[in-house]
Amino acid sequence: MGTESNGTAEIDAASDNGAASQPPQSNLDRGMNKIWKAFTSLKMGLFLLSVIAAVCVYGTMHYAASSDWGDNAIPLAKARVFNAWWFFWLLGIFFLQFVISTWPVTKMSARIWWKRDFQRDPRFYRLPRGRASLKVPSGLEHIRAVLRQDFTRTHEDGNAFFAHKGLLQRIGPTVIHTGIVVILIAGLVRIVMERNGLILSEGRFFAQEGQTLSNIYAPRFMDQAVSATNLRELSVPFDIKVLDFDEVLHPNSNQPEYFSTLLQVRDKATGNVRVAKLDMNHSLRIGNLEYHQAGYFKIDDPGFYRVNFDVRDAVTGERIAVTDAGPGTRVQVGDEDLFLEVDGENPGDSWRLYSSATPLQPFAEGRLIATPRDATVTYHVHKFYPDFRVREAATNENDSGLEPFSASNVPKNPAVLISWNADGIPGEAWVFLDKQLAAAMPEHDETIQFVLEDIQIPADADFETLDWNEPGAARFVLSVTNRSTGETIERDILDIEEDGEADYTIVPQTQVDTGDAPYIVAAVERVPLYGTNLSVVREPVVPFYILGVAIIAIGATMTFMTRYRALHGLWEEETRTLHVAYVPRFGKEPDPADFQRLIRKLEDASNPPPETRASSTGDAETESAETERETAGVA
Amino acid sequence: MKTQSSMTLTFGADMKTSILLTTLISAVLLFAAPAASRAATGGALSDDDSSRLSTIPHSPEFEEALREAGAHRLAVRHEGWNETLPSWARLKIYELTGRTEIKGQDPIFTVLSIIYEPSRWSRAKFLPIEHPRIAEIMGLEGKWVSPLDIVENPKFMDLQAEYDAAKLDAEEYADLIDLLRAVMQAKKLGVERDGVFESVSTRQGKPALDPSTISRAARYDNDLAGLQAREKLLGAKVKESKPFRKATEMLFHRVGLILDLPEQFTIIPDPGATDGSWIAAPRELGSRFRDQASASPAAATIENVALKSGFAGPTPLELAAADLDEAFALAFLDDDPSGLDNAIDEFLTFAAKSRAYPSDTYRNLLNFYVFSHPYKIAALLYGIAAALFGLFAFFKAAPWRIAGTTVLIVGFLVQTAAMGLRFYLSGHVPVSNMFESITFTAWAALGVGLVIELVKRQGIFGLATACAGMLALIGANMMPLHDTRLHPLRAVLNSIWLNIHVTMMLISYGVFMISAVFAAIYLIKKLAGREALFGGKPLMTLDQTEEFAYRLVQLGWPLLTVGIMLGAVWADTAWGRYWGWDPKETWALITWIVYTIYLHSRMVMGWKGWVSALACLIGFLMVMVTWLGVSYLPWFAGGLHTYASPTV
Repeated sequence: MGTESNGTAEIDAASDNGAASQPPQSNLDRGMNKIWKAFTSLKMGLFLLSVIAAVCVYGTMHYAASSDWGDNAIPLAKARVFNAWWFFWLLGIFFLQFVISTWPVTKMSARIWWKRDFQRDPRFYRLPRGRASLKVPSGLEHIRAVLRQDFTRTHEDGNAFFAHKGLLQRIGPTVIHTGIVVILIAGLVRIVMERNGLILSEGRFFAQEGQTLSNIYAPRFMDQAVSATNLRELSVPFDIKVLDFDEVLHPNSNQPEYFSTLLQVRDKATGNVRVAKLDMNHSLRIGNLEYHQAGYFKIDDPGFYRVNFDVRDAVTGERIAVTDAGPGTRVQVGDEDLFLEVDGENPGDSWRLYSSATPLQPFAEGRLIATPRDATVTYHVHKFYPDFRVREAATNENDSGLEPFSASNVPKNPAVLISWNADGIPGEAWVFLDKQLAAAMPEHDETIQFVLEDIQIPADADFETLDWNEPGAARFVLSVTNRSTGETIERDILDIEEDGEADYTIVPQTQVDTGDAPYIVAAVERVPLYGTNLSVVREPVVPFYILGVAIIAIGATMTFMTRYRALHGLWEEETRTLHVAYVPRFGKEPDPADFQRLIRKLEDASNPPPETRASSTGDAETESAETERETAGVA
Repeated sequence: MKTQSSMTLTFGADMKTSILLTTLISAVLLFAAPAASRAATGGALSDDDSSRLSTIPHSPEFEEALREAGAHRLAVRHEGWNETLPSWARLKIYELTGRTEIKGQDPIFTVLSIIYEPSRWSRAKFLPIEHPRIAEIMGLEGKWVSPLDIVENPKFMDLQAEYDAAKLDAEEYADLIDLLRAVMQAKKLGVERDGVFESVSTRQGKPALDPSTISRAARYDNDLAGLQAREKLLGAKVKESKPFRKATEMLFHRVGLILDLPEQFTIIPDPGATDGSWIAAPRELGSRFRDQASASPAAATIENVALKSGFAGPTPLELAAADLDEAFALAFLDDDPSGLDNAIDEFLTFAAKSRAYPSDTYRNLLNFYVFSHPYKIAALLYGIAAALFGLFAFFKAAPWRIAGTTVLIVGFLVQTAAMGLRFYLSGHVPVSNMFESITFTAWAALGVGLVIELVKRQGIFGLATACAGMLALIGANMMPLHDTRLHPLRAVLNSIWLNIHVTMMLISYGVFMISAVFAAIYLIKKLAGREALFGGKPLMTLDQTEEFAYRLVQLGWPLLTVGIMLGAVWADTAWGRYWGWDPKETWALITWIVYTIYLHSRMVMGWKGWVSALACLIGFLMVMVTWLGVSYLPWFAGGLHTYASPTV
């Protein structure tokens, strides 16, 4: 974005006492020229950048970061500001201004290879920095060889020379500008495409474990957040089945450490099936859409659950991993190349193991073995009948046509109705104080049994007036027995409707012959069912952004890792003297050491060594002393 | 001559003022910094009220015995992280009291005492009442109360009722705000209203809001003024009751925590767990199996009992934990800690066999890291270095500068060691929360400034760097204890890009921080109309000061550029898009634009002086908004960079 200056300007400035007369311009032309000059100036570029920054502040403060808009904030910011036509035109004007204002540099860069800048004015070689005059009695042949060897391009025209090197530095800024232009074009194109629905930026895929879908959702209105009322369905040419969702929490916390989704993707056209995993930091490409793990949800319904399966090596007994699965879904076992498929959760149900190499053919199969598993039961006394009886129901509310009732308020035949939830399965049980009656009742659950041991009431309680089902009126001594072990696992004294809880271990009675399967698989516990929430995008302009960034990186490397230097030379045949000027870009001072190196090379090339007169940047004393020493040494 | 003399006198007075100011500021920084951070992170309960303190159980001999028995070597699992018993105890005391210790006691003693002899604490006044209304309702006096003062207070239900009413107000207010927002959105977005919001004709014929919002808004549009009046009234009430609600919630939480402490004292990895969770010592296990052991002399050792107990029986570690639990209980019951050392040793012997139990090295280093307060030491050293550089600025004597540089290097090494230790203990580059972000940025700024100071040896770099580092670390040390503790990494941060993108951004912030200090020095000098703020000859000319601010921005800008680009790459892998106009992203872009304008205007257009310095400061203001403002300023809400719940 700067102008080239190699010292000529200094001569011009010194010699030009008046500009060459130019044809007079009309006021309109002058005005237009001024406007054009202003538009293409750096100031205008910076002004436009300031406006863009101000718009960004507005878009953020008024929309994206404003609590006024709730979940709609960022979609609104995009719709109202960042994807709006007026922002498009603002960026477009900046793009034009940028291209035009950088055009002189671009033009210069394009012509740098062919640049010939011969300086024939002797005054140019008398300027203070980077200048030297060398006596070359033997002629210019060796000098030409040195120049060809040391510089990228060397030109000669009569008695004038021009050579330069480090050309990449001069091209670098143009390459950077090109990268910026590519990014700006991509940004502009993206706005147009998004406004016309050619970009999918807020797609969603919601499904629970075991579910198969061949559609995704996209917002109907782009200025609103994705919500149940702002969705439209889009079909995709794949059947996508959620085999497993995996959530790993930091132990003893509710904070997730890792979450991922295992998908089975079936191409509807070819029938090809593949299994792939994506997690919170790794996306998955399916067709022309990119799927990302955006979030997940837990289904809090005891009726919907998965089961944890413990997979062990049959020989060593060593655990490979514990993984959750549901009937018919294939899940990955830990990080191994093992995929488990089960038909059920009960001992004896079949399982199959696949590898990614054999997704259709199991390489091992067997039956679930029975292992102890931990469970929890919660319960409370729902209702108390002091003198339990059964009679014909007045209404047909239940199949038996009978209903329980209490014949009196005196505890002659006490019974309680217990509501419980054992290991996720709810139920109710009648429990009697009478041991014989209790023994005659059906089992409460396959895993636990309740026993009513006693009923406690205040010493001064009057049976006639006592409301047994009033909280605080009576306390029920309940015990819970683990049916698989016969142990009493909990003994509670509970008020009516007061919750009790017991943890226990279920030891299955069924034994399964594992045969010669190389693995042992057992159902361990029930776990909640999860749903996965994937964001789905299609961003066709992204490669152009990447291209732009790559170009900028290349341009930056060229600009900052190389150094442009030009050498101008003028040969005086009469005195056999070569005047040289060594000039870097932007009229900057040459590096003294670099300049000295060059002069030494040129001196060495002049055989016999010529007397030299040199003046260079900054340290003139050191330089002349060094040149003298050199000459003396050769003499 | 007279004029010159008076000028000299004036200058002399200024010099004296400068000396006084320098001394005063240094003293304040040196002594107030640790005090401020101590106050912020807690500090001990003051001994101001002897009658209150007399209610608190105290036993220095027991504390000493606990230390000697090696209780500090135990580990406790806390919120997904392995703490040592001392660090966990300190966190719990902080949670209970807002201070890091009670009555100068060792937190281990305090917490174990609350767990194992809760009755002694039931009347101990250690729970703070943080709102006068609570004391008023419950008829309590003083700031500190005991658990029984709360739970047995006849007015407890009154407190609960008032809290519930305030909470209901807050919920109603939240609903009201939500509703009002819907109405205002409908209005702002240009939804046409024909009496009600039923005709929607916004741009391109699409409704700008979903139908449910519009219908909600429609119901209330006719009474918008009434709605706004209600919002104003309720808003004032809710705002007024907020401190009360917060204080009451905190009080309830603290009372609940006392009851919950035994459950939270999770000291062993659960042998049956598949998710790596830890459990508290199984209390009943110890005596039950000891009974078995005594019945069968052959199975007298814990291991034998465990082996004989079958498939689902307790592991040796569980039994050792149960024994340890019993030993603690007996020690507190009998006030005799003599058996604790054996119980702890035995427990740790079994614990060492568990792969899930943190190693000795980890526990020792964690204790060292937590209790050596390295960031406070570093802040103090930076303060001393700043004072020494200040003296150099005044006296221009090289020994002051050398001393300042030396202290700065020592401070930097202390901070580097602290960060290295934190990296080792946490397993990730310490840039994952605000505390780590501030300390890392300070460290980057210190590194850059120190290198320049060592090369240039002008003192001013050391002064600027030391001041910036000290202020940043004081800020970090003043953060609540829970924000400074080691913590597990959030899932979305569990990525290599955290190390690359965030460190790159924070290093650039550090460089910009130093450049802003230079720009500020330039502007102060300019406003004061003096080349030197202290003494006669300046450490650096005005132009050089501004030039260095510019040079540092030249260094920081490419880092910021690359940092933003890498952030875009991470955003693509994590969120599925490179750029989403999230507030943090947009402000990073704004920062980048401001510095781009600054660099081009100075480099190509030659804008120097106060305009340039001011632009540099504006740039840093943008950095502060991007870095801290988006997270903390009230005008900013939401955004993906807040790392809210992963559940959508």
